[in-house]
Amino acid sequence: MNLSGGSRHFQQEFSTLRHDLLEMGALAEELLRVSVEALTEGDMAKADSVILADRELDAMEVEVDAAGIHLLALHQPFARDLRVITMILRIANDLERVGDHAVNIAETVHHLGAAPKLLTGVPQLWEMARISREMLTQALDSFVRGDSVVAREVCGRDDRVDSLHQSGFRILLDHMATDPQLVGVGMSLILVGRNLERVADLATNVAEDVVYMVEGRSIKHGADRTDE
Amino acid sequence: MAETMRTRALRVFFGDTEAVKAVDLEIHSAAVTAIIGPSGCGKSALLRALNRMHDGVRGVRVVGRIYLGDREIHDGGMDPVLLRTQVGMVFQRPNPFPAMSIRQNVTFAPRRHGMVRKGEESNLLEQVLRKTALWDEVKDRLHHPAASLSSGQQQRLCMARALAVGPQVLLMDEPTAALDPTATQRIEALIYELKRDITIVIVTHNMQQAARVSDRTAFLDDGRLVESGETERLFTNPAEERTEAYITGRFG
Repeated sequence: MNLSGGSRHFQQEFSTLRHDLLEMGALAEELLRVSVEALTEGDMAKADSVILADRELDAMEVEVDAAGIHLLALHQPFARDLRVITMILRIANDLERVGDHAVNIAETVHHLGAAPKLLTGVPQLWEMARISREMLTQALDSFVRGDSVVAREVCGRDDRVDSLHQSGFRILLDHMATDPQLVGVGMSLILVGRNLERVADLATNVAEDVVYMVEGRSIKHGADRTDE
Repeated sequence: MAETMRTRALRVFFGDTEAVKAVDLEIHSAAVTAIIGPSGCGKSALLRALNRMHDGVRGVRVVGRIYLGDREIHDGGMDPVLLRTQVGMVFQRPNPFPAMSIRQNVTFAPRRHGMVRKGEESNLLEQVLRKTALWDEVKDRLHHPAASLSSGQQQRLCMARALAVGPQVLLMDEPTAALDPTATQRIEALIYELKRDITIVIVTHNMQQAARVSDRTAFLDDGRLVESGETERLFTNPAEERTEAYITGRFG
């Protein structure tokens, strides 16, 4: 018979894996928060701290991968254990990419130097930053609590970020068309918007993975999100 | 197309003990159905009922209906010996007739049942030994005793023996429990090949094996069918808490 789920050995490693993923989540949320702060404050030191800490996040992803593969190979888990471990592997990858987007935003601070005035004209960016961060936090909470209802709520918020992204993009284009001197800054901020929009996508991915983990059904790519 | 089997309110009693309790099981055609469950859950008792292996065993009583295709296997007109040519069985320990040659092991039953003419025996022999991937290993020593083969080869010989009478269904009771991983892999590969033409039911304690080889899985606990369905679904997202607890090793 399969002894995986019942053995203390498995339970210990399994619980360490969950814990490590949550640490990754906490760090990814922090990197995102600090990168946006660095941008608004034009703070190079904060931007550098994001770039540095992202290496830590990368290293954690490698560790989570190794621990997850180890559990799959040695314990060959089934059912919910199997779903949780495979989803942890995916979520770790998503969190690592959230870190990459935070780094992209932090690097923008280096290009821009002091916080550009144009920033105040695009409130969509702040709104995107706020919602993306909330989505990420909410998705990770839904993982901790195994709550697919909250996870589905996260998925539902992605459209709002997409529409903010589009309207912010149009406003920045208008500014650049009116004043060609703003093209450099405008392009950088368009990329910031793009990075925030991707973070919301990744938070959505995490939430979709939580739904699969809890319910055993995929809601990816518009697959039925309520019933089957 | 191979036949389906199904049981309706099947009960097996050992004396006063009810080992199989009102099981309704669907066994799909040309597919592998795995029966899993903790020791003593009734899975072997259920399997053995499917080709009337309990017949004549003192103290054992089988109640309920079992269908092979549309025919009830306890019907007066159904000869249990003939039934077993339609529903073959492979056991945990390889049990070839040890003193008989490899050839005789395969040709004995078809000859006895008048299923093959003398001149066609060699064809049949080669055909089933090829099916069980034994031909290349034994073609130069067909007259050697079966006991001279390794245990993995003996088990494949037992499968060849069961296949020689052209069964619709092959029942396998822990067929790799006594084999090493390499021999196990060969048997599993064979099961995968054979299921195209034959309906296979396998009882196994090894859940990884059930997940690897079967299309459908039935989970039995304390004689009851707790859950059955597509293997992939059952092993990733079982519907019943007890199935989840069993396959994740939290009980049993």
